[in-house]
Amino acid sequence: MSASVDTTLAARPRGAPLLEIADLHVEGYSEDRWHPIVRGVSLTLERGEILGLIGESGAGKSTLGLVAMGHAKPGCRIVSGSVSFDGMNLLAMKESQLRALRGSRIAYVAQSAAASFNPAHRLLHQTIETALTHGFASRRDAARNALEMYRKLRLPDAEEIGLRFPHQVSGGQLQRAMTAMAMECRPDLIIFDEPTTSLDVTTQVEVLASIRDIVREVARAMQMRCFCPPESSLGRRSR
Amino acid sequence: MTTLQTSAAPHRRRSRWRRLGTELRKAPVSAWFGMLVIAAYIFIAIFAPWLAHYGEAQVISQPYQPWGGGFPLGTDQLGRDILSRLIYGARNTLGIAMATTLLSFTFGVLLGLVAALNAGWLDQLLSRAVDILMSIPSLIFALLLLAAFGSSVPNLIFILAVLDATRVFRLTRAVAANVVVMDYIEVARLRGESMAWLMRREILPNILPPLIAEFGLRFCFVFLSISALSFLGVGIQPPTADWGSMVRENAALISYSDVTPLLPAGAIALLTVSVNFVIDWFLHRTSGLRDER
Repeated sequence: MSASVDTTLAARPRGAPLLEIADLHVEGYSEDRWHPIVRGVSLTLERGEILGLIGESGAGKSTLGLVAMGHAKPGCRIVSGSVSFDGMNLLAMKESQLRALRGSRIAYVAQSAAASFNPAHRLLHQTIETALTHGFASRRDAARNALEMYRKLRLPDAEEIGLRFPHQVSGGQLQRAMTAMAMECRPDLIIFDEPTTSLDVTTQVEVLASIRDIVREVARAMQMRCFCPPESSLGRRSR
Repeated sequence: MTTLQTSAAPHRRRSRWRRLGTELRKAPVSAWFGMLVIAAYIFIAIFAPWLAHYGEAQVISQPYQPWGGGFPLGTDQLGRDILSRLIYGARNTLGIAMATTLLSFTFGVLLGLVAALNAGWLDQLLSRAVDILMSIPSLIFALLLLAAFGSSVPNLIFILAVLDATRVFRLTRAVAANVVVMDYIEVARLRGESMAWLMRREILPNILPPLIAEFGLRFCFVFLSISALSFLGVGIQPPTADWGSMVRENAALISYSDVTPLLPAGAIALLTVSVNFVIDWFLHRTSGLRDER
């Protein structure tokens, strides 16, 4: 939390990378003391790039992914370093400012889709929630976008599947619905946190293929950037 | 929810009504009995002025008339028609109990959710304040407050609601704390959702079954406390008809083997049992509890 990059839009340097993490140190609290989780990571991500992070379990990939949204899990703290998104210092921002960015400009696809959907709501309602809370689109437009995205992600019965509850669809379908949710506000940066760990191998291939297609397709049209922990098939640095 | 422009929307709405229909057909006799009794009470409460022959405070005859004649259930100690007062009593007691329960749930659920979401000093502050309120016996505390502020109907509703909200707060905080640690709440935070949205859309739907069950039970307790306070003379004030005070006013008749004072007490008991039948059925259906047979 030591860096002091100016957060105002006016002062943001031209042509700055979309995401710039410099000398980041994160610690986690356990057994009465702070242990280092991330030690001095620096990375830059340009617009239109896909970046993959590879590391063994517990290496801090997810922690790094969350820090890119200005979020530290409970029990974690960011000790030093800087995280700037589009020239704005995320670590110096207030919670309300971060809230405005999250979901709309930086989206997150979580590790386990099954646990990341609210069991009380239908898929379509959750998919369009981000667009509604950020005032990005009207309910009708958001629902139409979501259906289109379902089709692009090759979800079967796109019309009907949105009316199901999370427990009524398979894990692979949930993961794709989650990707559709992340795309809803056309974010600049999407963080995929091991989007296929909880899936079996054949489904992994299918989900990754559809994610790759959509990132490619939308990225070209929308200048989408993707920052993607460890799916190596997606995660090569490419423009 | 229904404004979603999807081809399947009408299908969904129909199936929801149909689900309710099958659910009702499968309901046990006790639940049906409870629902019918509650419906009858609500009907009587709403249409009291048309159902009762006399006004609730109207003195129309000699005191303590026996059953029969113009007065099917006799008259009370001032010569008012007992049946008419019973009918009006449904309106007063039910209405006040309902208002109190709704108000206590508004306070309790709101603060409980705030405490669950803001673990830390705010949670500690609210929880300890509730502990202090709960450590005082509520009937005595209510008596004290009513004596201090005067026993008007708004005071009665507010005081009982605040005292009852402590229990609702505890339940809400406990069940919401289970939901707050779920992955989907963290993901929702990372979608940039505000606290109000998190409370209403993400947490509340998932804790609704225990809250609805609690609502039924709390309603009974509030109802009983109002009757108890009225019986003690600080609840609903005369000449407003209320079942609790009706028991007290006519209690002397018991000594002459007249069951009239038991009628309002019976009305209270019947409603309490009926509400519990319905809540039992609801809990059974939503919590997945099954009798092992």
